[in-house]
Amino acid sequence: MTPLERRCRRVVRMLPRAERETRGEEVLGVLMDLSDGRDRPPLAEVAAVAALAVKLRMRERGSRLRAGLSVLAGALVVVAAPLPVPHVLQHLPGLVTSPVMQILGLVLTLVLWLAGAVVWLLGHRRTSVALWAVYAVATVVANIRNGLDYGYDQVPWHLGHVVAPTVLTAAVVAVAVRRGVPAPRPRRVWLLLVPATVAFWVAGMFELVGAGAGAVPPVAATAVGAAGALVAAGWVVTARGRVGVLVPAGVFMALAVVGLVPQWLALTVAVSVVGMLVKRQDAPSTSLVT
Amino acid sequence: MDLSEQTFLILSALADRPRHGYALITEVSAMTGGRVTLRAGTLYGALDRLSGQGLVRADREEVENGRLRRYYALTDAGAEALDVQTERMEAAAKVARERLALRPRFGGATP
Repeated sequence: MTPLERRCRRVVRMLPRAERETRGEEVLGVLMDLSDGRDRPPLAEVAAVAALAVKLRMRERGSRLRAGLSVLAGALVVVAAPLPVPHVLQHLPGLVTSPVMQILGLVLTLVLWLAGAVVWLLGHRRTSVALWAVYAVATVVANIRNGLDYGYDQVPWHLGHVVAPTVLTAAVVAVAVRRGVPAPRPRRVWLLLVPATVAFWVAGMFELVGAGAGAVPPVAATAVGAAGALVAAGWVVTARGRVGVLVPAGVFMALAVVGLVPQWLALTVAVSVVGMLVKRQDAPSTSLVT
Repeated sequence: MDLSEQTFLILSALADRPRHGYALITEVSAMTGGRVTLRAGTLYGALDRLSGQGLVRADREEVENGRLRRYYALTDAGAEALDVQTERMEAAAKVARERLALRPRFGGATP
């Protein structure tokens, strides 16, 4: 390798990896041609490649942030937001003593969540923001009543486990819509998660009617969610050879099992990690050179 | 679509036949009598953008003197955009010439 080639390769290394892989050798050849017999590339060329590298990295970071926001919103919508449904229902005025009304209330709340989730995943973003706002307000109101009925010492628990997932979901969906971030892809996979979650809440409904205790047992839900998420992550990661991404999800799941992190938050993180990996596999190449 | 001068020159350099990166740089320089010198970083940034707009596509690859040459070609949409811009510039240049002709220093009558 000549000193010129070594120096030009150093310049090319400034480019992001994806660009280097598709175009590194080509840029290297042009830089060597432009060196015109000298043993180093012209300074102006080095500066232009550096400027291109900065531009590409900023664009990459921007698209990663958008993809992250999209997947985070998806995970909140399909996994975290429906968690408080039974808690909300438990404290609807006048319904506590009537199992039939409880079931009716559950179905209505479930329909509101379903509508918000499906409408957003299908791309009707403004309508979904309105639905999520209604859902979040209903949750907050029901929990204020809960505080009045059962004592304010219960309020922090309800804020963390019931209000936070819905309000956070509504806020993240609103931010995503405002920034023009679309629902995550592949759409089919995310839509399939919706009936899976509904199945949980059908089971939860019987629990609610029978024991009046509320949701699907949180530990069981977490275990099933964690197992599903980790199996899916393992499958995707093995195919990509990227084991490192499992670590943050694993840590969160462990913290959730010992009770240090709310389960809805751990599930959201796990589903987000899997969602990012699936999205990366699904994403078409945007490079000029394919 | 309004094309910048840089874009216009790159599309013009590809109008007659596909060219690789270094040939594009030398061709643009020759077309402008050395007034415009494209840098490699600038060129590849522009090619990315033009490809995203569907005006340019990668054509083929060759290895010359141990160096990878990737050729780029103008698409039909690129040729159309270049044609539209050329007509627009010709019309603008015609108007400018007519107005300049009214000035005494450029052949117009003395006021």
